[in-house]
Amino acid sequence: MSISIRIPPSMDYVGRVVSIVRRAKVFVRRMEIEARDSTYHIVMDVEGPADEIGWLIAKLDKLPEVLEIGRTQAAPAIAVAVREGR
Amino acid sequence: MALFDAAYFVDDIEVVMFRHEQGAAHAAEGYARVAGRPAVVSATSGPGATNLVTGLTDAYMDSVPVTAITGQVATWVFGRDGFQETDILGVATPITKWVYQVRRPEEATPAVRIAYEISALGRPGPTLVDLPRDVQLMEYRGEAKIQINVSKFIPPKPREEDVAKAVKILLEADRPVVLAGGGVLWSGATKEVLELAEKLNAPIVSTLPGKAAIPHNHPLYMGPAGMHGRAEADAALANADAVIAVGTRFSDRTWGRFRELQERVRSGEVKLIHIDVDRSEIGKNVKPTVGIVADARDALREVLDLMPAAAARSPKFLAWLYEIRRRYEDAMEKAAAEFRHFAPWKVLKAVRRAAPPSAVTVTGVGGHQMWSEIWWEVYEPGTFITSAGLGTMGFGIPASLGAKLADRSRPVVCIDGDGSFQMTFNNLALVREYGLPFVEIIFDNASLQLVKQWQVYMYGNRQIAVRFARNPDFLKIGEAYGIEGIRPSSYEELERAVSWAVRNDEPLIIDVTIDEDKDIVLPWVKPGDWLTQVILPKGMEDVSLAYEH
Repeated sequence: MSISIRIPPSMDYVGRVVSIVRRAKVFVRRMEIEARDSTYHIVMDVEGPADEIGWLIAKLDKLPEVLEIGRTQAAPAIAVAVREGR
Repeated sequence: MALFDAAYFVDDIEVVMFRHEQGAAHAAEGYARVAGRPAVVSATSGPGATNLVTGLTDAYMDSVPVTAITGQVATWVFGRDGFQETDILGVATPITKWVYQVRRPEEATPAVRIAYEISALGRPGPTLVDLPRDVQLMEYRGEAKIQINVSKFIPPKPREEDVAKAVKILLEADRPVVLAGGGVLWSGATKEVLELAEKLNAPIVSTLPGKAAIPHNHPLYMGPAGMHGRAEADAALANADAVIAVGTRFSDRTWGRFRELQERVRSGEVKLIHIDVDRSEIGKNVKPTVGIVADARDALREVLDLMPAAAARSPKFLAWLYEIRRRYEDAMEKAAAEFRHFAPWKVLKAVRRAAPPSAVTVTGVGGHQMWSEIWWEVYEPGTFITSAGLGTMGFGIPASLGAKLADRSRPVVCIDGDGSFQMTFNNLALVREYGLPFVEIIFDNASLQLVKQWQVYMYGNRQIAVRFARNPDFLKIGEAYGIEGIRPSSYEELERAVSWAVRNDEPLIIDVTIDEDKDIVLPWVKPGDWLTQVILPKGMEDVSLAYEH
């Protein structure tokens, strides 16, 4: 599962996002942050039970600094890499 | 320094100087719970800020609106380990709804405004604004825009199809139970909870925070359930075939463990309706049959509007619960005779007789708090304040001061323990200084009784680090702060003393000697046990909390 988040460009807010992710029972396969259009775009590929990922998204969405949040299935190339253990 | 210097020139900011920042934070909680709006607590950088952490965590766990403003070293010192530098944003990140470090003076006003607003919006909680010293001294040129999304805290309307499902479940149930959490109080949904229970003729059970939301003289209220809940409340929850849980996060302290409930919900044996303003609470610990994300009062109002007069139910379930109550109270009456000094629950009954219904009762944390959970009777919503989620010893005295600050016309009674008292009694200095009288009742068993209880039952009675070999004279401590005190020798004397203090709006410290060897709080659902595995007091050996239907 891929979670995409948009927050204002502050590492304090990145820290807040990470503090929630580290308490979820998921494995973070990939996490990228990119500064774009005056905001930080965070993309995370996470693995774990669907309920847990749902909880994580709901918790992240509670942060007022999270301006947008969405979920998609992980990109195929990443899914293949995961399957192959790379 | 600069912030307080500015406050010197502002008339409508009342600065109350607590003797320790933790006390100030708990006082802000007490204030918020009585006033229904946040208080602002401020501390200096470094130790001042870190001393707030326990109070902020407490507010976070119990969903209390508090706004903290902390000082910070100058921005050019950041990361260089300057004197009293602490990354308070990093520290407070997991225990706040929002934190913000002001980097430009133009951000200061909107940051404080947003922090204040967010702390009370939706599910309440603490917020923190950090003000570096150099930014405080800079010239202010208008207001900057702080980019955040506040609207997400505005509760959504309940979905019609979910409400309809909930109504159908409740109407079809044989043994529906209403579980009221702290969210009922914040939402102002007491009336709706009572109306729903009456319509269904269903027992009401609460969590520990939810205890404050329900008048205990209502015949359908069974009391709080859980680790130290009422036996009839545990029985009601464990044997319900439908539970409507309102404004609660499904704490292990209320349910013991979730496995039985989750299995019953999954099999359809129990239908679970969960209403909460916080989307992330739905399904967090137990996956409900129906989850409704909405303000508690709005959701219950829609449920009530859709619900016709409920079909008559067999009174057997309620009669069984009342019988458990009768058996428990009989057993405890007999147990009281074995105490050489005071029996904790009889102390609470005597104090309750002396305190008017509107009196605000605050507790510390420990055995006395658990006795209060079981025995203290709340008559008016919002008049019982305790540290439920975090269980912070020392909460009682500062929270009592905060409660009194919020409404000086109401008596405040603090039910405390000798362990809790010794953690924050330095704040008694404010009683005379600011005219904040309250009655401090110390359940003095010379031990950390609740920890001792765990050691007795769960660690082969190996007692370590739980007894105070020598307690100070609490009455002399009171005297040092200009507060009278007594050590009563009878329940009548105790009741008279409380009446006198309340009537005259005078502070009073009452040191009540409790037999430490007999002070075991029962009922008790041991951690990780299911509700029906509760340990009941002597004389209830033949009572089972499993309903035969």
